[in-house]
Amino acid sequence: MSAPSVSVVPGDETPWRRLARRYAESRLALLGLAMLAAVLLLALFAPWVAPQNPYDLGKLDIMDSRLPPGSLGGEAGDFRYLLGTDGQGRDMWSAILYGLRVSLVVGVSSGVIALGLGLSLGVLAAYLGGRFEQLLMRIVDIQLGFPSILVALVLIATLGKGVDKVIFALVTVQWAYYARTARSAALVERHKDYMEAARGLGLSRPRMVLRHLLPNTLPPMIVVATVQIAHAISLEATLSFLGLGLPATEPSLGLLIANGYESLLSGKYWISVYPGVALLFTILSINLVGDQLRDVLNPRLAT
Amino acid sequence: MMKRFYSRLRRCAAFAPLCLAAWLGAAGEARAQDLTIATKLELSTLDPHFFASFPAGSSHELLYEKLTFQDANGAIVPQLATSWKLIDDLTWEFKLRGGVKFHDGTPFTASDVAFTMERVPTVPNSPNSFAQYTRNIEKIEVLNPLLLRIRTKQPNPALPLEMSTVFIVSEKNGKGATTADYNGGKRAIGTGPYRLVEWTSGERLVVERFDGHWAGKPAWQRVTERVIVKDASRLAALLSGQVDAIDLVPIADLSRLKADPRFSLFSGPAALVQYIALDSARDSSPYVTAKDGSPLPQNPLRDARVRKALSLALNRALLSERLMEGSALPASQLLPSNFAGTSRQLKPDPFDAARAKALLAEAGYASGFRLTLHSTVDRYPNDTAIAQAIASSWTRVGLDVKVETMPGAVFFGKAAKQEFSAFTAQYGSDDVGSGLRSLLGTVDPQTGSGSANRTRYSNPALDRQLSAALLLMDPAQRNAALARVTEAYMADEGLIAVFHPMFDYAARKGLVVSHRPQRRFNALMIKPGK
Amino acid sequence: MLVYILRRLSQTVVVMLVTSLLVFSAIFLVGDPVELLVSPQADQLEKDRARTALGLDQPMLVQYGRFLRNAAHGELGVSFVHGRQALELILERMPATLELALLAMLIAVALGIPLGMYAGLKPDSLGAKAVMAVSIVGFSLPGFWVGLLLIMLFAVQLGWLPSTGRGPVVDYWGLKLSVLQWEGLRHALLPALNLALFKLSLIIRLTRAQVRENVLLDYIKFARAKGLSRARVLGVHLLKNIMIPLVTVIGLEFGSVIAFAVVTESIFAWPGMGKLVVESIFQLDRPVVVAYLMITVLMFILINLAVDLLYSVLDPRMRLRAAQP
Repeated sequence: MSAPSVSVVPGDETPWRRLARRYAESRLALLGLAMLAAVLLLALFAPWVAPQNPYDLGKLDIMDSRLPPGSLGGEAGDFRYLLGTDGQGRDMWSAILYGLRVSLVVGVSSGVIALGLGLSLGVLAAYLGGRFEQLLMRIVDIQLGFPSILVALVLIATLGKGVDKVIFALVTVQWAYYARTARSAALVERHKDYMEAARGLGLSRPRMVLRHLLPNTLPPMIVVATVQIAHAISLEATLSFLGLGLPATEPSLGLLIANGYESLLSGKYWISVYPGVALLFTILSINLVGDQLRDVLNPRLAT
Repeated sequence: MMKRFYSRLRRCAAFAPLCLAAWLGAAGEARAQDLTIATKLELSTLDPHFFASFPAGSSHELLYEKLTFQDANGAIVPQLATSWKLIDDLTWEFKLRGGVKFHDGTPFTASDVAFTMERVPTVPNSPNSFAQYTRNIEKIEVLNPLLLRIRTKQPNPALPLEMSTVFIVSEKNGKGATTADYNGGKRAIGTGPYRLVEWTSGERLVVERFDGHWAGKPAWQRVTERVIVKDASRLAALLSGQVDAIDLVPIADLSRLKADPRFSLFSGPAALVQYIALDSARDSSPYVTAKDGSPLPQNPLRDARVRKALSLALNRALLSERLMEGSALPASQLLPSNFAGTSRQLKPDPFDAARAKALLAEAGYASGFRLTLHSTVDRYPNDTAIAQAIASSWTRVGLDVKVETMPGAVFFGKAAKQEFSAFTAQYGSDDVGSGLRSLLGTVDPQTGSGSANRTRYSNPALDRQLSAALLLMDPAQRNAALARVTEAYMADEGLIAVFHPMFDYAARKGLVVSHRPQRRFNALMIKPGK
Repeated sequence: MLVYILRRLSQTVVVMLVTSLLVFSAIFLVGDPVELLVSPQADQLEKDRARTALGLDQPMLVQYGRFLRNAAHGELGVSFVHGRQALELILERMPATLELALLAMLIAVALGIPLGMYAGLKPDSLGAKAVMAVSIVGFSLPGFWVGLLLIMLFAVQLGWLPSTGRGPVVDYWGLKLSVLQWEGLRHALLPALNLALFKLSLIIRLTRAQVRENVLLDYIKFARAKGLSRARVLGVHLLKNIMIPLVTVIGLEFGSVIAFAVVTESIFAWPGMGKLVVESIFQLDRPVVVAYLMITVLMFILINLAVDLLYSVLDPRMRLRAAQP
């Protein structure tokens, strides 16, 4: 999709260069980009950066459980737990790094898939109208009413636990939301002048939907999308809190937070607070970047 | 006009913090004789015969009473019956207590007992009926208002125990009363030390002192039982002073509460055992394979040496003290040793990783094998952590262990269908005999044995020994025989007993909580004191 | 218009049927309620008796048929655990959830729209940046976590507000509410705040985005050129045009607040529908789950219908007929 901005700057600036330049106009957005890059790098290189593999059950020692940050432990007694340990004796720093990977994969993939599914179905429904729209919207109604808890429980019962099942559960829960919002935005757009113009030009239907309706429906969706990716990661944490999320031995940030929940009142804050800070950092960076991208790509904000 | 408004606002602002604090902090004056407790048990009905569940068993003790009562050591003591004896193998005679009144003033007599036993099997829609305790009763003879005879269909030495579960209701009030009538409150009449004031389903139960109670004045004037299911929220309610006492203190918070001078902690071993069940019945088990994933020629779990090795690999002391923060007792059998019928000889298996490895090698598994351990999530305190710790221990003696957890709603269905190879769960027994029969007895739908025996473990010789023990009418002989049978089952490694969880209670200073090994938490367990 | 409404309502019946069938199948797939309800010592006889008493010994379709027959009489089943009509249980707990949801939406909208407009009109000010930062925190932290933090701060440490539970209930012509009294409001503040946080963040961001777009448009400049006061331009013209996506989201969110306040109600021991349904799901108390979902789906349908009708009021450009491509 080409950047639909009206630029009168002459010269040899490519659209990407223009995007980068306009993006860099905000210092806060650059900070967000740096944060996001840090998060992605840490997540990608977690097995090399993390001092301990938290998935290896043989290495965990209950004797080292719930130690405060900075304590020494491990088999030789010389391993320093930078951020303390959790109830299983897992090094918090390592667990956070690995958990970051899982949370990002879960949040982003479920968000992107749900967005794609919901956006296309919603725009199509608004465009085609009639029976198709009615049918889709009724399916959306059913889906919205169905609690994610029940969906997750059924999936676990029939398929067991796993990252792919959690992503599936999150997609089923989210797509309807996107579809409904996309449809309402598309309904507004459909009656605007430029669509009349396109029709007047005799453009084919797919062309009208793909190149005119869809791009203009996108901006309000991007706000919802950046919020929803955060929500997906948060929803995964809530499912983990209820015992319906990822397997206990391969925790995401959400599961780590949920595990440490009980320890908050007892003063062992590190088990829950540090993963929470990591989660906040991640989502903050996603949204700072997303905000600026949306502002930059929004044709209606071009001055 | 705006100026005056602003000046007035400024004047109020000076007092605002004071007013705010006073307003926000406003709470009613609570009398010293009132008790408010928060419990995890959620009562679902006021009909004492609708659902034999832990919440009902706990809260209904405030309103209703039973013929006999199971005390903290599992012994059967008098309540509405003062004594009982066997007339012959099929007949028990119960002498009833005189001077007992129901909340509406009606005197308690033997006809109320007869009415109760007749009503129990007729309550519709019951998910877990009391009829399983009265099923064996053939006839009730009322000899005089304070004496009755119960004739059973088969010899039943456990009748006094069964009578300690069935709450007695009044014939006069209860005739024609449905579950809905009891839930409505007006018909919720019993002989218990408290009478109903108000019940909001899922939220709170409020009762007040019944002055006509036969045992004298109950300790509290007014009791409020609040339902708070989430552990952290329940603890927060205690810490913020909203309630006076709570049950099931989260394990992670025990040390903090111990150090807090405002609160006292109480605990005791529960009539529960955290156990590991191993699939020893089948030739090939779904989650047991060689370390590379290929199937094994035989199921290693069929070999008692392998099962023993898996038990020796566990460091029960460490699990109890570190993982459970002292809130567990290493176990060797189904019930803690203060219960009648338990074996004083049996000791928990020691932690001996070397011997475990040796046993595995002896059985032909020197290089170990792969196994998946299944467990519930959030059904028992720390259940996931326990499963992971067990898996960790087994990994250390050379196995390759995966842990799979799932909610209880999914877990029990699958376990009952024999879908697991190894799982860990908790089991509660009323007494040694019924526990062994349900958990380790050969599965037999006709006799009802083995109803909780999910691995279909079977040892017919021991089953016969158990049946013989259960038929002994003399308590001393019975207990001794049960102890021997327990030892035999444990020697055969029918299951691996890991530890007995403890129930932890916390109360504000000035209250004393008496522990009960059954899952109960009510005002009868709490008294003022040091 | 009337035809449209009637058509939507007839579709509603189909939707509810499909939902009930889905829930029946879902619970069937998850597990066996009897295994969860009978005591550990219960023998096979007791298990069989329980199965028959609860109607679980029949094949699923037979059970579903029985459910449909009862539903035609207005009875949506008897709860396994409580022994009462599922519908009665849910309606008993509904006021508690509704009052919490309404309070939360009130907080979210009353704070969100003004803050969002401020952030949109003065995007480079420090205040706007602070508002946006707080809004990000609001939706990035999981609700259960924030809930416990609120309890720890306001109840345990400061002692200003009660930690859990619903306040004293007053009967208003059959409707039992607690928030209209001060003591009840005190109990409701923390859970309402917990519920509102996510919605608040969403409304702030959406309002800001819409404001920033619309403020540049010609009709705003035209209105100012006409000499209209700033307040009128903002409050009437701008507000009306940003309302459409906002109304959609608020409508959706209200539905989700009611349906999914489960976590907040569990943490704050608030005796509402959410707590009932999550417990029923885990106990496999099917009648309650089916009844609840049918009510929730009905509610979503009605909310969406109301929102769609509202569009035509707010935006004369939109039509409710079948589209003309």
